Amino acid sequence: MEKNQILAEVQEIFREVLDNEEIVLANETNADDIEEWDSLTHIQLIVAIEKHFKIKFTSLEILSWKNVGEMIDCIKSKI
Amino acid sequence: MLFTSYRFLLFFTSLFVLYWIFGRKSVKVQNGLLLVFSYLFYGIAEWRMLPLLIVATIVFYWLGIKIDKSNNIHSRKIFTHIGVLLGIGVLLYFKYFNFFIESFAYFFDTIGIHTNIHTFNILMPLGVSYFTFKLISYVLEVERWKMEATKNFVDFAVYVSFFPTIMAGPIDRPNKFIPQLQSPRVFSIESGIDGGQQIIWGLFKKVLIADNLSPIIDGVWENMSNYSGSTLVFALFLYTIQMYADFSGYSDMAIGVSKLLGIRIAKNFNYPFFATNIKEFWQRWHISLTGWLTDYVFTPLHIRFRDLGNFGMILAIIINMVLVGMWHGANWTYAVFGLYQGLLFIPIILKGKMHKKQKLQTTILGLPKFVDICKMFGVVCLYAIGIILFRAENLGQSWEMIRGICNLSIFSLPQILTHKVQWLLSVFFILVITEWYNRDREYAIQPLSYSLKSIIPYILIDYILLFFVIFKGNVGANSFIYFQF
Amino acid sequence: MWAQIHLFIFSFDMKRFLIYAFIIVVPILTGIGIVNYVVDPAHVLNKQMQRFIADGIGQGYSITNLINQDERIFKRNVAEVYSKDTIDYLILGPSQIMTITSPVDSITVLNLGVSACRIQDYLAFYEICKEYGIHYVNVLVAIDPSLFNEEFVDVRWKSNSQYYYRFKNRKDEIKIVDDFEKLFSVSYFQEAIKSLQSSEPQMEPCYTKETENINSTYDCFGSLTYGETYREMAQSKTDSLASNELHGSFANYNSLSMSTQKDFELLFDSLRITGANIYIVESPYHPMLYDRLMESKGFCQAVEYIEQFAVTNNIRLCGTYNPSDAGLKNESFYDGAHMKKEIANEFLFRRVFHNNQDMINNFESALRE
Repeated sequence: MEKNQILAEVQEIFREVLDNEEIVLANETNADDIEEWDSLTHIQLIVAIEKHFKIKFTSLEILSWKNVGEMIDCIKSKI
Repeated sequence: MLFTSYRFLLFFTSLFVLYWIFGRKSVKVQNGLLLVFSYLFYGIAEWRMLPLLIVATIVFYWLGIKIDKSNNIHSRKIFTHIGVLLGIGVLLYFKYFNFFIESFAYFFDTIGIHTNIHTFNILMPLGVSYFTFKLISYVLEVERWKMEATKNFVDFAVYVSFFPTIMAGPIDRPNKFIPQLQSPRVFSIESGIDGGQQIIWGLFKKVLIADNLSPIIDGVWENMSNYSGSTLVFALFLYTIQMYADFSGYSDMAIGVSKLLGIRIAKNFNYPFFATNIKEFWQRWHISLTGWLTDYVFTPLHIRFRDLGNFGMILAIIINMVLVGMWHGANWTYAVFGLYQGLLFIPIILKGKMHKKQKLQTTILGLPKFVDICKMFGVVCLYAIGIILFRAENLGQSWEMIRGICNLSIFSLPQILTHKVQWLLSVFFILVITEWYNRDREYAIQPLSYSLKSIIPYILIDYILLFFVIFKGNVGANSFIYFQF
Repeated sequence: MWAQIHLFIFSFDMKRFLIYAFIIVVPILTGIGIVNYVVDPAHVLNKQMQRFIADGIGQGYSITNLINQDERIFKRNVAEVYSKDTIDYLILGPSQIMTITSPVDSITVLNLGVSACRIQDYLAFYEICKEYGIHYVNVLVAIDPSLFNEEFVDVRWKSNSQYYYRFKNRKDEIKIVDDFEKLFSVSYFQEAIKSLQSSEPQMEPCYTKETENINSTYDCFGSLTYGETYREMAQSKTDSLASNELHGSFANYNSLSMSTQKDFELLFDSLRITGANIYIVESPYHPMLYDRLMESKGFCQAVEYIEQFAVTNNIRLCGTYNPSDAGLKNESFYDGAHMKKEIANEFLFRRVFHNNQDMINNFESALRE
């Protein structure tokens, strides 16, 4: 799967979990840019992403992403 | 050395002069001065534990570099684990060792086995709960690629021992603090006056409100049987006020002092009494501690339990809050306090409201809606109930207080409603109103602009606050709650 | 370097900040300093009252109405009167022994006890006696177990701080900081304001030949006789004070301060060198307070330490903290810690004189008078 495709699907997951249809994600986006995205919703997003892509992240991976781009790279490496 | 002493004024003034005269444009001089004065500050308080602080700093400095230089994830993990275990080990040994021994002995006693275990005379290093947390967070942030290990030992040592925060926090994060040391700080009138205002505000809260309430509340706790249920309940609320005024006041002074040195440290309080549920409360109270535990205990646990849904979150929260409680001291009262606070989260979690952000609407006068005021009061009540555990010397005393409250004497006027308590409450009421209207500022009397014209009213306010402090402040009181941690 | 200071002060931002800081701090400190110096409720900054008191003592008068006086300075003034003299018994320690006085005319007893006597006070008074050339044949060191409680902070010893620092061979310059703190002390300021607001006529210390007066009275050897309120206190009030007090001095008392123990050892090393006979005195508590004190970890540890110390160092131990061991009841006390004057004196001197039958006979005939 291409990174753009992954980005689009992740954006959809964000919109659904955070209940905000106006969210737009780019590679540089991080938690400071999106109001609803904090340490708690982060986990909910992870659970949804893992379910959607049928993958499993390690704790260290989850804690080390600095932005959406790094998250996408990680997803790509697991699909 | 307390911030509220002339000795500290002398100490800080000398640092301030040297720092800004000789330190202009020189990072080495500024950081060197900070380190020398920080070790001096710690040494004056507890010179016997200074070696521990220095050794711990050296060890963790080395660990950070080792983690960064490691080629693979495995060795990064090992060095991090060593760091975390060492940090926790030091904390457990100095703070909790006797507690474990006593608890074991008590347990064996109750099942009939008599032990001859003696507790050791362990001297608890001042600030151990604070600097071990700083060290642990350093290795974890380096491991998680959130920052590079600091190559400069002086910078790192300043981070660990920074005198405004070494004794009682706020607990700074390395990735926010250390970068500030890497370029010279330039003096600006904004941070100068901002710092000064915050110091005066903190001084006012601590010396006028907290230190005056302290002996009154101590009197009630030491002689519970002499007071009616209503008095005991009233004392719980007063203690909540005392804790807030004391600790947020001290934090304000620490933050203000740091600003005068051109350094921004972590925020510790964000108007906790304006929280409308217990989750918000803990995001506004002792933020540097709860934030630390959230990032390093709750979040990893929550990640591990993520497939267990709400139950996973509840379990993670309870463990987290029990640790929040136990961080305060080696006593079962703190553990039960933490458990109680954790259980209070359950309704919020089940309703799915954990991540909802508070959005308060205001009425015409700019005050919150009545419903929200009730919620705020409710949260304060829930916290005040927790004081029954938090302030007690042991569970037995908590039980004694509960018995003292749960009887008919609760339907009477509190006995300690003296003239002094009345005006203290009035002052506190005005403080709350001021904080409400200025809740978008870091602290209630933060100036909005620093031009000559705008500062004058603030100086007048300072005079009023300081007059209160020198005429009515309790300067004899030495019991600062958070020093013993 | 002058260029740097020039740059520092005249950088625009710093200049404005210094003005800001000055406008706030200087007037307030000055105000506090002026009020403290002018009003001087405890007469510590202005020495006239101290001279007046010292003169009275030198003439053999007792002094009463010492309400706002600094106890430490007063006792220092008393000691000065006996410079180069030889005293039979020197008394050091906390308020429990402040009422001790000479049992018979032929014996001189100099009482340098002060309330909440901290280890610094003991050492300061040792140094004061040394400096004034006072020779003492016996020294009775009364010790309260709260002495070793690090959590109990009392700074009144600072009135004689230069003597403490001299004992410890530290520079006298530290005294300057202490004096500064007193002149600008906020708590002293509050006392000054209170004394200005009080509508009662200021009670000034005065000479008297009477031992018992309305207010506390000290005789010319420093021995205290309580004022009316205490002497005539109802037993029920005494008992209620005893059952309610858990002295702030025993709060959070879980271990013995190591630095105090060190100074404690130094004190006795120095006393030994003087060649005086040393006694450690334990003053009993009111039975109701004693029961509660027995539950304090620090209290029990301290008692053990003190008694062990006396044994190890071959120092005579007289007295006990336990009132029933001393045969005392609730009625023997003014409050939780202080024995009534006659009882305290009898309690002490019987135990000090126990080997000396002559003294006991003299003592008993004096008591009968």
